Parts: sequence; C-alpha cells; structure tokens
Amino acid sequence: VATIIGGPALPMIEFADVSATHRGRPVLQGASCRFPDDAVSALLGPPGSGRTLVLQLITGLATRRAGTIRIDGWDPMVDLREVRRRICFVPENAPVPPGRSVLASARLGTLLATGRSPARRETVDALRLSEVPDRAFGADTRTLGPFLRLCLWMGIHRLRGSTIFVADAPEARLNAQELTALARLLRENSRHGRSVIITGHDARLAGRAADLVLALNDLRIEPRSTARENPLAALSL
Amino acid sequence: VTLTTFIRFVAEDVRRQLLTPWAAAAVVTLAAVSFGALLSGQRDVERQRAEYEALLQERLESQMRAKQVLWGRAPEAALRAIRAPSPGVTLVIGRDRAIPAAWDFAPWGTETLFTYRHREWDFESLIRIPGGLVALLLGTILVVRDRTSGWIAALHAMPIAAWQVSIARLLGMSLSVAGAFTLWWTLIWLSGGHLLPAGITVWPLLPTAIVYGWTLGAVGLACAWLSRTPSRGLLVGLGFWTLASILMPSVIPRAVGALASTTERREEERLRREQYADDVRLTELEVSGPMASMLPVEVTDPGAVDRWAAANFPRVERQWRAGMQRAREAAHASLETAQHAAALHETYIRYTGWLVPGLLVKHALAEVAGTGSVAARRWEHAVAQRHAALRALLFDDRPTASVRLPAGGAIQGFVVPRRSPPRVAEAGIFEPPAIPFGSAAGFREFGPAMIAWLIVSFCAAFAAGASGSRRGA
Repeated sequence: VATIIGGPALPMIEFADVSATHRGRPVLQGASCRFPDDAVSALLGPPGSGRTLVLQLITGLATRRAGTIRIDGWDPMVDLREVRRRICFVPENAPVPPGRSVLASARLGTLLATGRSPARRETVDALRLSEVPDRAFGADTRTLGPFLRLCLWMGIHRLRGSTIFVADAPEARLNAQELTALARLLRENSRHGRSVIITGHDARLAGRAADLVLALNDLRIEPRSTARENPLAALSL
Repeated sequence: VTLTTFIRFVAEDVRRQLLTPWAAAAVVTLAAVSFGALLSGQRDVERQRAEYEALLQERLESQMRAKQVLWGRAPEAALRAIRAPSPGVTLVIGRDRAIPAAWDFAPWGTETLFTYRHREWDFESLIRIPGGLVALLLGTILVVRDRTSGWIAALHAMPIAAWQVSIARLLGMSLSVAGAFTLWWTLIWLSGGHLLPAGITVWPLLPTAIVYGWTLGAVGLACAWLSRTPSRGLLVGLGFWTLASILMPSVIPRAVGALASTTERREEERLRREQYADDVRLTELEVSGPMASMLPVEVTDPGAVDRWAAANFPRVERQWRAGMQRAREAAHASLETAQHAAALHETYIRYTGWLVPGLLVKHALAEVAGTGSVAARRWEHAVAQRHAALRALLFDDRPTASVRLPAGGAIQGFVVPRRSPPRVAEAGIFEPPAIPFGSAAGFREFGPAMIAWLIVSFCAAFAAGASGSRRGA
C-alpha cells in the first residue's frame, strides 16, 4: 500500500486521502499529493507499484474507492468530459492512430478532443514546434520510432490547447540523446500555466526534466533528488 | 463533443478503413472474384443454352429423319428436353404445331419453382458471404489492432464517450461495407453483367447492407473482446461464422416453431414437415402403361400426319386444341398466382435473411417461409400428380392418329383406335399447393423474432465489445 504526500501550493492536480485497487489488490491507501502548475512532475516507482493507476485515476480511466481527486477543480468521476478536455494522456509506448499519416493523426487527435479540425498550416506549425521533422509529416505512423511518437503527441497537446500533459513511462526505449531532447520538450510544455506529469521506474528522464519527483513505493514515499536543481520538491518534501 | 465531431470521426474512420491497403486489397480481390464468377456463370449459362438448343435442334431433325416418330406420344423426357432451360419459358415458339399443346403443362421448370434461385449467384449471396466476412473481420481486426497498438487506451482518455467510439466504428464499418458493395455492383453493371434473380432491384437494398455490416460489426466487436491479437481475431471471427453456419439453420426453424402463435399452428407445421420430409419424392413420370402398349409407327413425312389428322379428325382436333388452350390458360393463371406467392416469400426471406449470419441460413429461412426444399418437393408432387392425370386423360382417351408411311408413301394403317372424345375439362384447373406462410402472417410470426434477434444480438455484442474495449484499454 503506497501513500503519496507532498506537493507545492497552487495545485493543478490534487489527491486527498485517495484509496484505489487494481484487480482487487489495494495499490493506494489514503494517498495525498499535489502536482503543481508550471512544473514537470515525475512519479517514480517499481513495476506494479501503481504508477499507471495514478494516471488512470487522473484521466478517469479508473475509479477510486475513497478520497478526493481534483483536476483544476473538477472531479474525474463526476466531470469526466471537463477533466479529459484539460488532459492530454499518452499511454505507455505513446501509441498513435494506426494507418494514418502524422499530419492526419495530429488532426484526428485534435478533432476528437476539441471537436475542431485544425488547419494544415496550424498543424504543421504545432508539429514543428514539437520537433517533428518535416519529412515525417506524410509518413505512416507505424513507421515512427518512440521519440517521434512522443513528439507527435506533444504536437497534439499543443493543438488541443490542453493544460496538462500526462505521459506514462515516456522514457522507454529512448537513447540518451532522445532523452535529453524529450526533457527539453517537456520543460517547454510545462510553462505558461501548463503542467506535465510523467511516470517511470528509473530517474533517467526525471533527472533531466522533473521539477518535482514523487516516489511511489510500497508503504513509503521517498523524495528523490534530481540532477538539476529541484526547489519545488525540496520545498514540499 | 458535438454531432459534427462525431460525423467527422465517422467519415475519417470510413476513409481510414477504405484506404488501408488491407481493405483495398480485400475489396479488389473480392470484386475480381465476384466479377469473374458472375461473368463465367453468365457465359456458362449462355453456352449451355446454346448447346442445349443445338442439341434439341439436332435431336428434332434426327427424329424427323428417323423411321419411327411418335407424334404426341413420345416419352415425356424427350418432350421435356425440347424446352429452353428457363422456367419462364413454357412453350418453344415455332414448335407448337409439332408439339401437342398439352405438354405446355409439363412441369419442367415449375418443378424448381422455388429452389433454383438458391443455386444461383445472386445479390444476397454477394452480400451474405464475402460481405459478411468482410464486415465481421473488419469489426474484429480494427478493434484488435487498436488494442494491440495501444491507441484504444488513448482514445478512451479523449473527451469522447466510449459508446460514441463504438458507434462510430460500427457506422464507419457499415458504410465501408456498403461502399464496397456499391463498388462491386457498379463494376458488374458497367461490365454488362447481371445478377440473379434478374428482376431484383439492387440499389434499394444497399441500405440493408449497412444494417448487415452494422450487425456483423457488433459481432466483430464481441469477437475482438475475445481476441488479443489480429490473427486470433481472425480465427474467432471465422469460428463464429462457421458456428453460425452450422447452428443457425437448425436453430431458426425451431425458434420460429416455438414462437408460433397457436397450438394448431405448431401441430400443422409438425405434420407438414413429417409428411413431406419422409413421403414426398421427386416423381419420375413413367412412360409405361398405356403409352407402352402403343405400337411404334414410322413417319418419314411429318406433314403427312398433320394433313391426315386434319382430314380425318378436324372437329375433334379443333375441340381438343381449344380445350387444351383453355386448360393451359387456367393453369397458367394458377401458376402465376403460385409464382407470385413464391416471389413474395422470396422477397420476405431476402429482407429478413440479412440479419442472420451463416452460409445455410438462407435455406433455413426458406424452409421456414415455405419456399424451401420441402415445399419444392410438395410442389413437384402436386405437379406430377396433375401431369399423370393429364397424361391419362390425353393418351388414354384421346383419339390418336398414328400412321405408318412406308417408302412408297401409302398409308399402311392406324395403330390406336378412336375411343371417347377428349374431356379436358375433367382434369379440372390445376391447383398449386398452398404455401404455408402467407407473407403477412409470416411477417407477424417471423418478423418480430428476427427483429428481436437483431436487437438482442446487437445489444449483447455491443455491450461485450464496449466492455472489451475498455478492458483492453
């Protein structure tokens, strides 16, 4: 049973005494934490510790047994649409719509989230800002590597105008160069009132990008220090 | 998410499904196969018809040249053989004088009043077999592929409801299937081909294909629930299809029988099945008996027979022909009524049969609606009985003129003496056997069951598919 505590003021996402189970097994028990604005938060923990469940609780894909969760003031179990409108959730391995081009996938993701199909120019600009190379715009999404898939998702995040970017284990199968680039992109996405939450079981990406590191482990919470300065984590934990 | 978003999503899904290489290859392959099958079938029919005509002409000419020709008393098989291979043709133009008009009642073609359609490659088959498989496998593979790629998890985290995703999938798939059918039919139409039955209007049936794709797409979603890989999804879909093909033909009649409104009706249905399933046989008309006792005659000049008959039996011959004409018209009216009823039932089956997957379901539905093989045998039996009565009347009592014309040209003698004058009216008007289900009654009893099946199967499959999608996510 894990307990999450900590977090700075001005929380965009707040857990309060949350209990949840996964396939009948308790994973969270009275967990409380806050994920701040304008910051990259990393949730670390070993496999099976419930990292993905926390993200599913945030996005409304899983339900809690007790406690309170507020996403920008909205409850995922009550105001699911409002919550999902604010969150861009990237599952593990950053899956993208199969059988489409990168441009079409970006437009589809935006359409599904906002009901608006962005113009080509707008889509191209968002993808370029997310470091998707021009040569990949017409490529089939099945040919994309993990880094480009994440870049595509960040392009969708920009097009949607969502305020929270949530990625499950984004560092998987990335080399060091790609991790550095991804960390830079994540930090860029965490500005101007936006928030980024990532999970992982090691600190390779968290050490490069996270402002706040939360460790999710059985029965205990361990603040982790990152390679870069981490004032928010130091303040809250 | 607005309605516009939903519609755009459906359109995007249709475009995606139609434009994927797999779907395009499947559509093109099936179109090619269908096109080839239709063309070859059409050519085959034409070739058989031509060969048949040539054979008949040759046989007729050989009979004309032969020493022994029995005019009006030839075995029925030979007389049957001069008919064109179409049940719609009951009289060969230009040969009516040579062939006794009575043989217009010969049941060639009417014997297969109902069942000949099932042996043809018709539009329903086009929809039912390849179209059903396409819908089923698309429904299975698309969801499984979304699940294996992980995209479905991201999709469910979007601000669009799960039911909207599933409905969009189904609607997109149904429109894709209907689009594929439109493409096939257009190809066939442009190539000058045709589908059987020839009178069917295809275009209004295309919306029904949407329903078919919708239903099987829901089943495909359920299959996807049981599958975690596309290959397993294929196997599950094909397994479902095979199972439905095996089970549904026996389940449907039982279910409909159980739903019959009254006990008398169920008893009647049971008796009808027992009686005709065991006892009715395809009656082969025999040429023994009175016909066998007739002596052969030699005719080298067929015209001499007519001239001789006109000279010796003018009054009787005219009466006979007039009576036969009246009987023929009466019989044709009855036949027309029966054909109309059969067409109604066929239409009924055509519209309800879409909703049930399986290869042999159509035959089961035909049995239920009274146009299946049992009813066909019943029809054959009735026609054969009628034919036997006509044969006895015409050949036992008809004043027959048979002549022997040797090489010298002199008439040698008559074979069959004149007996009583013809009494065609005694044969009565041919009464086709009643078809068990009237169209309205059939719909009252059968339609709700089919609609209930549609609703229940769709709801169950949809619930299973949606649940499976979420679990997969």
